[in-house]
Amino acid sequence: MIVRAAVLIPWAIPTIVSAQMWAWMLNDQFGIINHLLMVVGIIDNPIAWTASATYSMWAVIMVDVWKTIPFVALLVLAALQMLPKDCYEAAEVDGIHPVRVFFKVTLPLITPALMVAVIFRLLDALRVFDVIYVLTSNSTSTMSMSAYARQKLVEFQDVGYGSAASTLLFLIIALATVAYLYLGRKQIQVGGD
Amino acid sequence: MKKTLLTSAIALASLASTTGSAQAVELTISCGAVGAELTLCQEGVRAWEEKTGHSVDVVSTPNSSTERLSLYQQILSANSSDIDVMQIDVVWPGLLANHLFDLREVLGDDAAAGHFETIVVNNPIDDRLVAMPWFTDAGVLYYREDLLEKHGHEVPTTWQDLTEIARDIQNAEREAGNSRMQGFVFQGRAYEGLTVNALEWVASFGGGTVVDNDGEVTINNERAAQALDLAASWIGDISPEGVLNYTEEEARGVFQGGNAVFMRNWPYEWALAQSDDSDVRGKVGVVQLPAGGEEGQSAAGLGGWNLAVSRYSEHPDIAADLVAYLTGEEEQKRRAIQASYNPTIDALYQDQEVLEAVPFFGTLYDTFTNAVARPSAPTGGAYRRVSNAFFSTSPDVLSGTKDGAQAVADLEGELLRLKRRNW
Repeated sequence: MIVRAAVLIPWAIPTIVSAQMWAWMLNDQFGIINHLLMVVGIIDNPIAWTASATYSMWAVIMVDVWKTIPFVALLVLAALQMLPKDCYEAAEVDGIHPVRVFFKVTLPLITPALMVAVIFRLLDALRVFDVIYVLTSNSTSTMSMSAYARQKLVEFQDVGYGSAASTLLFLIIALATVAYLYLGRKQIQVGGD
Repeated sequence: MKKTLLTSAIALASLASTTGSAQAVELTISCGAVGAELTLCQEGVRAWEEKTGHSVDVVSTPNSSTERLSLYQQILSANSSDIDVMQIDVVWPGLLANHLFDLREVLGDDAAAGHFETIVVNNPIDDRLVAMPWFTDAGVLYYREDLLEKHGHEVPTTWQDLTEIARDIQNAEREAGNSRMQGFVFQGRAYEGLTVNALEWVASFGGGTVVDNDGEVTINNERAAQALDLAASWIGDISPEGVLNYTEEEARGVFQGGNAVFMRNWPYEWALAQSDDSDVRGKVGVVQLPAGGEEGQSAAGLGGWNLAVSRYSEHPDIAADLVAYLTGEEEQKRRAIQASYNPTIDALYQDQEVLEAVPFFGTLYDTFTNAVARPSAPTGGAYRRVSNAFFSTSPDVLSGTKDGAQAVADLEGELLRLKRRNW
């Protein structure tokens, strides 16, 4: 029970706070990540995770993944707990290998929950803002669509352009969602045969 | 004692009533929180509170000036009276003028007399005085006196010298066991600070100021490219790669921790470097920034902050009085001595007490009066875009994805496109 609650921590901390925490951990001069990597001997010189154009995108992705794993894990866990026992008993009686059971029974049964999890993550990822803003600020190498719209709206005070960008962002997300749902449904139908 | 304070407060409050308000009012002032700024601001405000009996709430703002401006623009465009007095950058009066109160109405026509002419010229917009200069800033070069002496080097006068010396000392110190030693740190994050830093490099090579006073785009020239190329060569050599994400305070952290030979920063760092908990106390010198080669000259970026009163303030007259107090000679002197903030009042540069506390105010007087202004005047309302284009291009060069010549050509194209629509 405690472990399950602990898994939720990254999801429960406000993004601004956790992103700032990661910004310090990833710092090139005093960050613990570089320190650990250097102690272990993987790198010789500290890496500027949030500053270098090569690594900053990966740093942002890593922090975002860290933050959202609990959410996906919880959804999948809920689906796994609702699996019917009889399928597994039947498989056991027939002597099916567990790996085959996973791919042929478990995975198809939890696919709807996975689809929901992925669609939430898709939407979140398309409109991501706070992690990037805290970690790399205005850097163009990690600018997301929301950051772009914000720059036009807030920084340049260009309300027309910024609103157009926000609307476009909404349309892109809507389109992506529709496409995903459509393809997902097809997939399920094919998989169901 | 308490009684006399109280009576004097009442007396002052009744005095204040002649200016329109019967009771003590509550004001809000926004101050920067870089280094010792916030404490200083609170102390200054407290002195005014005791004098007048009004109460003032001090709110801190983001350290990055780019974010600070966004915050102000949001508050002001909502016509909000949340903040009465704002600390604004020297390049902002033009952008914010419509939202600011004309201080002449309360403080009189010669309110800004005695302040640096160059700064005051910037503030009256359409014949209104929208801000009073609080402190001025110019980029200066900090160096470690002890390290230069130990390794037998002179203080560099050109960027090329600086590069050599920094590399030499950095490598020698690293071999001697200080693996974290860096040669040179500056402000490299994509924000307004990088605009100033890059402008200093370009101007010191004789490459102009991106956009000249007539509004012509001048950035596409060989010298500007050369300056950016030299700066790009520092990354990973004498500067850590992380410098591309440093603002003033990150750079100060490295330098004040004793881990850098040179640093480009504003004068405020002097008082902090000499404070008790500094690792480099007594080992630091300050000179003007190096020139770009033999035929170049030293160019310090003009910074500095003004105080302005919001037009939406409920008590603009009392807020203007607070501004007059904070920008007054007494308060500026206190700030100069205590935390090395450059006064904007000419006379204070001859003040013995000030010069004793901050010797380089005397030696670098010319640097402060001749600092290079960012092209905010000719570009007007489009300045933020110009600055953004500049500070977004520079990291491409610094991180090595473009060479200087390519970058200035691209930047010119972008600025010309902006120019067609905006100025």
